Amino acid sequence: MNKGRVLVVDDEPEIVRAVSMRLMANGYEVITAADGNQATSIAIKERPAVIILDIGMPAGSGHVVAKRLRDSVTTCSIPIIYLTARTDLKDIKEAFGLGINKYITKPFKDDELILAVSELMAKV
Amino acid sequence: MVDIENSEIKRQLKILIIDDNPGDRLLYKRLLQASPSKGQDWIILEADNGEAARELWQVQQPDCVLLDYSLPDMTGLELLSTFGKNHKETSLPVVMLTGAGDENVAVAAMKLGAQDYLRKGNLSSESLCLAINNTIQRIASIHKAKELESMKSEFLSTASHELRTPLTIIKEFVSLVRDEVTGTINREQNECLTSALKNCERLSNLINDILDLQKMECGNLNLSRRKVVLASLIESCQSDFQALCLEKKQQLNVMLTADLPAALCDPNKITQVLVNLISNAHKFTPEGGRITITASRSQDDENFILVEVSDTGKGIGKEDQNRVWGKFTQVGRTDGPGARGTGLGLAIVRNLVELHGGIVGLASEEGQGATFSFTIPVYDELKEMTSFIADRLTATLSEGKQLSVTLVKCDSASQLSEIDQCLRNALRRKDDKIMIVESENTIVVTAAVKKDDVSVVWRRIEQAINVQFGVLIANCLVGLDKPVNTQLIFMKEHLHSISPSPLAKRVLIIDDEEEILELASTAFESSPLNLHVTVESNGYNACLHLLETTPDLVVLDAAMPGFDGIQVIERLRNSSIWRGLKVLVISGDKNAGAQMVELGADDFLAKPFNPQDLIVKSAKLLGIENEEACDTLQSVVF
Repeated sequence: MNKGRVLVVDDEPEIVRAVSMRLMANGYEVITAADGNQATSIAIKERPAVIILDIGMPAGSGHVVAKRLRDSVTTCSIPIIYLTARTDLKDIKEAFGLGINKYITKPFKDDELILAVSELMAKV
Repeated sequence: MVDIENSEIKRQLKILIIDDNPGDRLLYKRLLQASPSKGQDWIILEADNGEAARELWQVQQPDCVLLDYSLPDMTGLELLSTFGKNHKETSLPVVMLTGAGDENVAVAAMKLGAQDYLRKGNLSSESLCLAINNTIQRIASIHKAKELESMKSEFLSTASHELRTPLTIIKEFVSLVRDEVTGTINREQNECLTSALKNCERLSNLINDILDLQKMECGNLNLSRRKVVLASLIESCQSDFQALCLEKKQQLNVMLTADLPAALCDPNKITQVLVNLISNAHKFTPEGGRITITASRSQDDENFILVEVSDTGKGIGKEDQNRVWGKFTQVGRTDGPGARGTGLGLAIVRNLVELHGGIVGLASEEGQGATFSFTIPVYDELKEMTSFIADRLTATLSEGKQLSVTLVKCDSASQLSEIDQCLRNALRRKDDKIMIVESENTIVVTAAVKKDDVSVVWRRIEQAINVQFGVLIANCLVGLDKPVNTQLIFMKEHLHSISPSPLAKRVLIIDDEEEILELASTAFESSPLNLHVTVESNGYNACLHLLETTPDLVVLDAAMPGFDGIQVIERLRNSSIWRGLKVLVISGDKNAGAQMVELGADDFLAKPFNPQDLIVKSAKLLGIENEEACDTLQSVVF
């Protein structure tokens, strides 16, 4: 069963792995990226239905990646979920400005992430 | 004689002498130069009036300032207060020079940030140098403490953030195994992993609490204070805890006095306070116990509301009562297994309450349950109006201008003329002054501002207090380049009959169609309601706007391209501003409207809509009742 393709972006490989396992157990197809550049090129090529994006990445913040995705015609309508340890108002405001669809902080509650993915998937 | 910590090179220290008497200035200079200071060279700067002193102070940044009380254009205290307000400094490197018997000047100066004072008649080289050196050292150590504080806060913030990532990883992998994603597990394994997960939760709460506490302690926490009806806030907490209390067969009761006034507070923070207290009561009260929340006007101070959370648990002995408020203290009133908290809950409660200007309290006896209490300020309309106006206007005035807003409650005609005299005196100075005088029937806002600022200032006041219901009287007092006295008079009875507060309610209209925005804002602005209207045509931007200035009512279109109405609501539901925000959905699509109401919007208006219906529904949501009064009002406006 393939409920849809999700791109998971985080510079921490273990986060990527844990999140991927969870998504796959729930029937989603997962592709991954470890930094912003990879993320953008994979997104354009593979056209995921939902993108899960970390903010605090050393080689380029999630905000920058999100902006690039929003600016590109091929990827601008893909819903983005921020999955981040950051809780500053500054980041939340930035997220709003970029039209990020969900802002989930790590560690997240039980089904929070899966629920968010399924909601956004339903709209696509 | 001067010994600045950590300074290897003895640099020259700048002293600024502010005194209008040249003879006095010369005296101070001589005393300083005569000091046996082992090669200490002072660079001495002088000013003989307030304006010049202020400029010199800002540009030269002296290490110490000798300040005389009487200056030709202002008093020394007034000069001090300008620095206090502008630079948010509560410690200034100032030694106040006072005449004999002027202790209250000295006290006032210290309150404004001065570090020391000396009597003019009694100066010697030694006393002067000592005072200056002590002041410089004290300021240096204050700066050092501030630096340390900010280093600590940065560290804690980074640490908390860093801790979250490995915690997330642990939690997720443990979850995956427990949920049998990696294969089936037996009951014992399930129990072990569940226990592990519970502690991940505990760790996560601890990290959040530490961050919260840190933010509060270094003043980084901003309160968004507003008028709050406590009844709904408390009842909301009660329903949140209902299920939990039911599990332990505990009763959770709420008792509020009938005439409970509205509070001035940040509803989210006070909710946090209540949640902490109720959660403690729930944890430390046995099965079948009773938890009661009460709220009433404080007996000790009528400007405060007293809220109490009582439980029928084991109680806290006298020896432990002071300790409970401390950080990481878990006072052992274990009535049951598990559910240990972070130990920071009460420290956070105390901080939040004190930030609001209230105090916390505890009454308990071993074996007799405990009552935790806190006070928060009552919402005082006139006081709020004053600071509201002051805030708005401060932004308007040009660089370097000071604004003081004075609130005077006036009972008689003679008092009114006294105030008028004060105002005339104020006109002589360079400061702009606004006075609000409330007498039995009227509220008079009087402003003394430079003539070229008048129209700007009044436009702002109009927006701030919705002056379409007032009468504007302008009196030109003197000449073209002298300040102008203008007055705005409100008929109080009409203000009060419109809404509980004379402050304009804020409405934000979000719709991608220009015509709808035009129609709706015109409808609002020409209605008799006190409204301040803003518009947004884009959902993303609207949300951003909402975070910065939260309106009282959002009129929201369901169907907008890109970020639509549903997404706006979902966004808002998870944010801190959701409580207390009213949302009216406008849409041609009834289903979308119904969906949004289900998500939490308060009402729905079908498009195309009648402007009258928009006003009626909005007024209802905003709690503006008296429509008759609105009609009367229309006739008052000249």
